[in-house]
Amino acid sequence: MPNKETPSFEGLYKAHHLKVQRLCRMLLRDTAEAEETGQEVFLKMFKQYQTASWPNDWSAWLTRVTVNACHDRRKSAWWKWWRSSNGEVQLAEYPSSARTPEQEALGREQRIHIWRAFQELSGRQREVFVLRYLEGWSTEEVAKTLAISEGSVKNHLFRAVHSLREALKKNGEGS
Amino acid sequence: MNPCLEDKTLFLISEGEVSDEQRSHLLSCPACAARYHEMGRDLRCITQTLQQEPPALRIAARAPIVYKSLPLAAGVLLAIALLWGESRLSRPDPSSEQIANGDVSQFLEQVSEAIFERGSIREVETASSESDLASVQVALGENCSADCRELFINSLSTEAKSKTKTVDQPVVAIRRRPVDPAMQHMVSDRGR
Repeated sequence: MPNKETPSFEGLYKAHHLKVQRLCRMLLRDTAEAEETGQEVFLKMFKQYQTASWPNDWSAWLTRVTVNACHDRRKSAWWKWWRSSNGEVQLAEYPSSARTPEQEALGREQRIHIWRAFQELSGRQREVFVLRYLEGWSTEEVAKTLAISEGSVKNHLFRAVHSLREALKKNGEGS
Repeated sequence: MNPCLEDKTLFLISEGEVSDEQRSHLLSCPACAARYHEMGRDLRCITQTLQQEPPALRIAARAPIVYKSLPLAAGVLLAIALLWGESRLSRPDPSSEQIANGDVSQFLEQVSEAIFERGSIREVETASSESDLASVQVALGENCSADCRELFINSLSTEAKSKTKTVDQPVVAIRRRPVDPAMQHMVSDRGR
């Protein structure tokens, strides 16, 4: 039950919906599916909000639920993928924060290469990379959330980082 | 001197997995230290890029899976067709086999009916050895030599001995079919 110390559902939604949507779009290639999954996540959050057992950290809970929801969605999306004949991978406009000087230094081509390389990573590699480097979780937390070993997390991470660095170097060589 | 560290080792070092030996190598080897710092810089750059707004682009459309799987499906179909054709070639055609068997049985039936055309099996069994011998001679024509005749008489005597021991067996009824006129004519010519 909500009380004075805990935020309202609206407050939680406002605080986290951009992050959840962004996470869904990063883990799922399809923008429409990402939006649907985001809504599912907030539906789950609403149900959880109505129960007596609230998580200590709503942000971590939402991240975990989002990652699992995207994972389930990817598993069940194969038939949709089969049916969709266009196969276009969309990179929509994501919520962004202010750019750093280093970011500004990166050329547009380089960013395109990095994003393409990221979208071409396997689902698991994307999950691990997002949780470890974009969400800042520890390897142990990632392993626990994804129900895999820490060694496996590091292997996926290394492969993801290797592919992304290759994309970065390719751009450096090309430009 | 220790060999330079691999990329994966450098990555694991960044993840906190480092042995004393690796740490000392990293501190003493400028090339590995430079690679380590480069990896950290790349990782920062990648992370910042992915945290920002992506460029407005569409990744090149993948070929639809239907098109991608066409060669595979064609290959599978071809393999199935080849296997089926091979099995068809290696196995004799049951219908042609049946036809051949039917021809042989019909021919044998016609021959037997031509030989025993004057009576049933019962009559043949009860006929005298002389008449049997005459029938065989008629059937074989001039090829029936003295040795052949002696062999036939011996077989008849042994058959008679065995008949006395065995119980009376049921008579097998043979359905008479119309004999091929050409065959009947041939046999009758030989008999003459």
